[in-house]
Amino acid sequence: MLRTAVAVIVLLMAPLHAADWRAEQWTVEPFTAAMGGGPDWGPVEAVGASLWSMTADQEGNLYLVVGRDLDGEGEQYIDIVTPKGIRYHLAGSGMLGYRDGPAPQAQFRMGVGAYYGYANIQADDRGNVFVGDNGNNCVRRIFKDDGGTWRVATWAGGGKRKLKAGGSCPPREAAIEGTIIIAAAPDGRLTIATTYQCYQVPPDGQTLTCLGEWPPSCARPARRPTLHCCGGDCDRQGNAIFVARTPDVAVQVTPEGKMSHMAGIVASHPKPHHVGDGPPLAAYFDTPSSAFAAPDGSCIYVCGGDEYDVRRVPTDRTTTTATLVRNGRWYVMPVHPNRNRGPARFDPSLTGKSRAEKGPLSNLVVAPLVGRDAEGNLYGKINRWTAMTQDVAGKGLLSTRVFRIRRVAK
Amino acid sequence: MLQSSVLTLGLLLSTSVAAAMDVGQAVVLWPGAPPQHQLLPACAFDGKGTFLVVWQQGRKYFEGEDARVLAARIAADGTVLDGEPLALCAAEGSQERPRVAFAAGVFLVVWQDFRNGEDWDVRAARVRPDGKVLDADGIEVATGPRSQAMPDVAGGPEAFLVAWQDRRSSDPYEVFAALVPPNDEPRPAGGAPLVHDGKHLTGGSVHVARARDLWFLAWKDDFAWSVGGGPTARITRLLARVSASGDRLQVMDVRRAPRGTYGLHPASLAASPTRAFFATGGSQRSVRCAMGAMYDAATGQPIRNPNTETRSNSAGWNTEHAIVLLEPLVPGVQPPMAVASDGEHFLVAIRQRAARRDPRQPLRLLRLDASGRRLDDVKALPVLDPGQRPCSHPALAAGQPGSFLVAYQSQDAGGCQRVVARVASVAQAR
Repeated sequence: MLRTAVAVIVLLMAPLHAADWRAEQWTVEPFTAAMGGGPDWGPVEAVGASLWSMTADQEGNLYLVVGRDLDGEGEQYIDIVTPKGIRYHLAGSGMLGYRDGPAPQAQFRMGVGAYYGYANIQADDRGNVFVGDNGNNCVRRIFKDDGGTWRVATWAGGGKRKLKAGGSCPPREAAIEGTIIIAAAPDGRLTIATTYQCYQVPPDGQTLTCLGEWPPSCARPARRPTLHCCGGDCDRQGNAIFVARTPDVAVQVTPEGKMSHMAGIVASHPKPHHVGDGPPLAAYFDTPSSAFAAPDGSCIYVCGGDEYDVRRVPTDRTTTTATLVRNGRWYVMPVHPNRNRGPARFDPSLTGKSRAEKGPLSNLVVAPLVGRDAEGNLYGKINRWTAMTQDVAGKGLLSTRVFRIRRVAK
Repeated sequence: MLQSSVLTLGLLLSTSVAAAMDVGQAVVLWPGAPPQHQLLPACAFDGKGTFLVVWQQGRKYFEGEDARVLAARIAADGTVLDGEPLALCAAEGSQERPRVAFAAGVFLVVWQDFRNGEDWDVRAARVRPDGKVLDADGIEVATGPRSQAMPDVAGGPEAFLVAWQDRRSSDPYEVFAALVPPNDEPRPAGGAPLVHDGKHLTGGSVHVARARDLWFLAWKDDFAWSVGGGPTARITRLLARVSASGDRLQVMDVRRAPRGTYGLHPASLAASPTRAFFATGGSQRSVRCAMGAMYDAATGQPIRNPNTETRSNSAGWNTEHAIVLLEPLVPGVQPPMAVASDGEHFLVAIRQRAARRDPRQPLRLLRLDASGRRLDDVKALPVLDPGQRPCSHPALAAGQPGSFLVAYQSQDAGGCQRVVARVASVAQAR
């Protein structure tokens, strides 16, 4: 009751621009990973291969991390989706390994040894695509050389020098250990999150600097802050964000390298499911598995591994978080969204209150978010053990297992 | 003394069993190949003495290389007959995922084709056993709007049946098929959606096999999943019988095929004159297994599993009908598998992780008799390739009775996938 009152007061006090998001309307539509399987590349909605994570550049290209696909003829690819909607392999030989050079011969171990197998991908405005290659303890860069050939090179990590806060060295001499999640700023500055520390590499790629351990508020009392990061992204202002499951928090890293705990209470068992949406640092996220930044920096979108939902977390840190419900609108859930889970059905015609308030609405089922594009549209899928894909009222199941959660233009 | 006799008898028996599976040397189909991957082999036999192996040469990359379809003939003794592979198509764009069958004196090779730069089409070319390619650049099988892809082909007495997945008229893929006559002048086939009980068959990853006077068709349909989630959230695998009357195809029946948990693993299908054999993999609680089921061609009904299984309901399978092909192990089967029949035996090629921390993935073979009775011990299947170098994607074709050709990808020292082939003789079943 008290939390609901706080959330309402916070909403009433919110400035005008923060109210805009409550008028947003989102919809879901097919993207890729065709139902029934399909070719490994071609028209994006007809491609059968799924994806782990994706990012976008400002030219309208999308870049996809492809892990293992049982129907495909290989694994460990970086794919590109052109503005014309054709999906191609961009890099990767189809086999696990470590090999730099021409993109078709390159080998990766993305997700290998990473916490829950997570691997993410980022693009800057200069034509670089970066991927966290956890199995090779490094960050790889995919780029087009002066001759117009796509190549893969190791950008950071793979070395033996272990750095402490403030220390720096050439990026390829540094030892980067633990799960590797990255965020690339438009200018090419790369922020690298690992289990214990955070690093930055400037756009020229000449040095890697250790920013230090994670903020103490991300740890339980008397514990060293240990973040099992699963997702990361960067807004157009260059602010990097990372989300971790255990502890269930989001952190922000500014272009100047200042780290801060921006959302999520650090909780232990039993999980505080009585806590719903509210001010970001008072909200509880249940094992968040992915997060992406709104390009304008106004918020981040956190997807919960055990919530199956998308939460909107404002970066102003004062207004409330909100949950995308199954009519494509944001609602403030008074109790944890996990208690509001309904069928994986998107129904834009629904009205009413959240299920927790005895109404018909429940959260839109998504787990995990896999990426966003330059316009801020989100892309999600549903774990195969939860359901198959999104069911749209009146239209039936989407024809792809990965779908676009598109913000409808006003 | 007694122990010694038992040991001697055991050795004799094991020698006998080993001799029953005679596997020839691996031959590289194109020793002078450029450093491009050779992928997704498929093979067929002409009924006399020649196998045709087809494969995808190269892989499409953005602003990079394209793929094309090549073929090579292999004699029944395993000798490669073509020093340079047969090029089936010189068109622009990529040609991928070839499949091949033989009927009425010619091989028919089908593939998915991206020459229009916008979507996939299905094309085909006939190849004579003497190596002559009859249809340069391929004839149109399905070139409708949007994508037609991932075709499979099986022979018949009067025509080949080509089946594929098609998005020309609906968002989910539908299963389409066409009859392609072997000897007529090439003409666009076009194809039609397969319909059962007034509904179009939806889904993809189609396989076809000829049995008796009809074809078996296997595919997967994600749309048969429950929308509610939970334990029913599984891909449905389906099996149908298709008959032809003139140019018209009729779906006689549709039934569910067995599948492992989630149904994610690819399936394989083969048929003898009286039986069809469906095989796939599955996993449950990190246990990967391979299982199959035998179907009667006359009735379409599954045949009771003639084997005694040590586990029941492994990975959700009903072992009353499902036959264990590889004892559930951790780690276990690595898809895809291949199956083929010479009329008397079914042969299964399975890739299996050697051990949890061992990167080798040997290819193994399993024989079954026509009733589905296993002829090899599922705990110790004969090894086709020990997997010292990564090998994968086996393809099988039955030759003369008791003889099979196995073609598969094997990584060379430079990291390139190469298609190699071996002849396996299974005539002396124990």
